[in-house]
Parts: sequence; structure tokens; C-alpha cells
Amino acid sequence: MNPALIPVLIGAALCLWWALAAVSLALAARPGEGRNRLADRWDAVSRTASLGFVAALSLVVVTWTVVPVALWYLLTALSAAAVAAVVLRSPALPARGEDPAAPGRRASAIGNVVLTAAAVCALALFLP
Amino acid sequence: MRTRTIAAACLAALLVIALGIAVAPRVPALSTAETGDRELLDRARDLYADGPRDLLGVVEIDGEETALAHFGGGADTDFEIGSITKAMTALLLADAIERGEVTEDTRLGDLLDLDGTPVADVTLAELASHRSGLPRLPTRLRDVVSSAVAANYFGRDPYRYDDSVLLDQARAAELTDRGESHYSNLGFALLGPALAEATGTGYADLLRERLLDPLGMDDTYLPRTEADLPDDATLGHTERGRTAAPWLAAAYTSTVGVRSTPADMERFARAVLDGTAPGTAALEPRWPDGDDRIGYAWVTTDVDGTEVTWHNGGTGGFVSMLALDREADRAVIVLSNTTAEVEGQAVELLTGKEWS
Repeated sequence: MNPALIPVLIGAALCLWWALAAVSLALAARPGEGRNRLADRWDAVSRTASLGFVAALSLVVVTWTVVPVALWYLLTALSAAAVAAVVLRSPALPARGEDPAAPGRRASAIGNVVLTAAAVCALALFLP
Repeated sequence: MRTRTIAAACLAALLVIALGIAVAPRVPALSTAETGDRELLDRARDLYADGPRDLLGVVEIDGEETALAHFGGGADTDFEIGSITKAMTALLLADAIERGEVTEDTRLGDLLDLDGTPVADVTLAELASHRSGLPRLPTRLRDVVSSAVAANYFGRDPYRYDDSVLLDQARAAELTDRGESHYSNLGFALLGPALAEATGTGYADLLRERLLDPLGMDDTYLPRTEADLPDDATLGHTERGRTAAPWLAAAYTSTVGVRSTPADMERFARAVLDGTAPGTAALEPRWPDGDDRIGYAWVTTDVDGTEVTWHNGGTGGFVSMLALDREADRAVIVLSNTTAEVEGQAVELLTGKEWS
């Protein structure tokens, strides 16, 4: 494989991951119940933190001199829309679900928040 | 309640957008603040218009004539010259051999405390011609991880090792295909302190006393800390669209640590061309290097019938190229503060021929 393609492929994969995370979060924030909807506020926190993590990862890992920077702005706008959708949906969500998966969602949310906070701290500390 | 929720959603979206704009990657374009020789500017612009670029300094020497072309900055703008530092270290080696301070067969173990490890048996000539068998970079896992992450993902100096760590890296290194050409930054990092030991001075002083001062390269320097950098030191741009931290290179200073300017690099190239630089025997090609030939660091390539002697350089935010046509008494130097390649275009400026 042409080595010059590697940063293009890595960039495409990360941008796709970011786009999917943003779109799936926005769709999950729609009213209603079901597997693809936000189950409770812990679920909202978990998925929003995941979105923040993939955005931070893209900032550091994507070779933006090869991948068009316009994608960054597009994905930022998509993420803003997803976060707005979550905020709009939050008042209608239970703080904590009563179903068997609720403890797992809470653990996942805490893990994702810690991971994203660590990523953001690393960026703040190490980026020149 | 609903109004407050909508307001909160709008605010959250605005915060995300503001954060995204604040930390967005930035990819510069070639500066339009052009100064210098109009004809050279036109030729260089055609070759360097594409890709992420910012400041670009081009020097063309043709016999007694010199043309300068600056896209942003000027003759005194400083750039990291990266591995062109090796070409300077190589001159110091050839000069020390001419002075009788070392021979090319002097073993590294005779100069540095390497405790009888494989690298102790490597000669200075092998180090300088990349035939030592040493790896390109230190192979200890912690060094690989820390330097790769620092340089590739955070745009930081990957060589934040002190002298004792450099020696530990050398002691831990295995030699592979010794006698064959394998580019080694580790090897050149060891050559600097070896020469310093042989000559009884530090590498920075050796470079200053024997090369920079005699050639009048007053704006060329080795920053040891960020405080040594002038307030207006040129910043580089990483390939990930961020500002690069300066490479101070610490113990690796003899491999990538020098900063210089187009004006000083003209002095350097001119002195190398006319043989007034110390140690120009370093340029003589003596060993095979893939399709090319190599002397001490300096590579000689046949470009469609023209013999080009050259060294390039690259750091986290800069690239550079020095190419000589010694027979025609011509040279081209290109210094850039982005990582987009400059080598082929520099050779095309020098020879008028494409370099594949």
C-alpha cells in the first residue's frame, strides 16, 4: 500500500467515527423509548462524553494537512447539533433508569467522562 | 421551562462551536509577502505553491552571484535546519581527522563510556556514513513510545534525553547489518559527544569555534533551552495542523539541533563549495547508499547526468534542503517552517531537472 494513503485512511476512519457518534447521539435524543433512544441522563452523559473523546482524538491523530480542515468544522457543527438535542431532551429523561441495564450505563458514563477528561487534560498539558 | 431548555440547548451548541473554532487545526498557505529576486521568486512559487506552507526562504548560489527569494520573513529569519546539522557535524569530524585528533577508525568505546557493549566497537567513520548498524532511533520501548507520541501526536521535541540517557540508549542498542547503509539519528547523536571528548570541549563550543565563527555564521545557533530562543523565533507547523514546539534536541543536538537563517546558510554553502569550510573532505562520496553514494553524512546523487551533493533536514515543524552542484559551482538552499517536502523542488531549482 502507498504509505501516503495511511494518513488519509486513518483520517477518514476517525472522521467517520466522529460523524457516526454525533449522528447517533442526535438520533438517540429524539423523544420516545427503545434501544436506540437515550434511556436516562446517565446514558446522555455517557454518549456525550464519548463524542467529546472522539473529537479530542481526531484533533490529535488526524493529519489535517492531508484531510480537509473543512471536515473539522462540519463535524464540530454536527456535534453542536447533537449536544443541543441532548440538552433539549434531558428534562424529559429520568435521572436514573430503573431497568437492569441502569447500573451499567452509570458505570459507562463515569468511565467515559474520566476518559474524556484525561484526553482533554493531556491536550491542555502537552499541546504546544 | 421550555424556553429555558431551548436557551440552554442553544448555549450548549454555541459553546461546542466556540470550542471547536478555538482549537481547530490550522493549515497555512505559502506567504504572499514576497521579497527578493523576482526571477527566483517566480520559479520558486511555481514549485512550492501547493501544499501546506507558510514561510519559505530560498537561496540560489551561481558562482559569484547569489539570488534570494523570501516568501514571508527575510534573509535573517531563523529556521530549524534539522538534519543539515549532521552535515555540519560531519565537517567537524573530517576537520578533527585532518588535525590528527581522531582517525576515522577511532572506536566509539575509546571516547565514550560504553562498557564494552557492541556499539563500543563502532568507528567514527561508520557513524558518520550511517554504516554503524545502529538503529535509526533508540529501540528501548519507553523511548519509542515517548518520542513517537511526543513528536507525532503532540508536536513536541522527541529528543528530550540528557547525555546519560543517550549513553544508556547506545549501550542497549543492537547492531544490525553493520557496514551497510542505514540512516541513524542515534549514530549521529553519539558522534557529537565523541568529537567533543576527543577535542576536549563541548559539542556546541566545537561547532561555534571551528565552523560557525570562522564562516561568520553569527545568527546560527544551538538553543539549549526555550529561553535561548529569541522572542521572534520562527514557529513551525506540524502536519496535524498545529504549532510545533521547538526541537532543542538535548543530547541529540549534533544530529538535529541547529537553527540558522537563509543568509547564514548562504555563507555555509559558499564555504563548502569553495573548500574554505573546515573538513570539506566529508563531502567526498566513498560508500554505496542505496542508489546513491555517501561520504560523511553528505549524499551524492546522479540526477540525470548532474552530480548533486546534498543533505536534507526535518523536524516536527520545519523542513530544509541544501543541494550542491560542485562541478558547476552552484547551490540551492530551501528553508521552510512547515513539513511539506522541499527536496525535489530544490534539486529542480539547482539542476533544472526533475528528481525522482
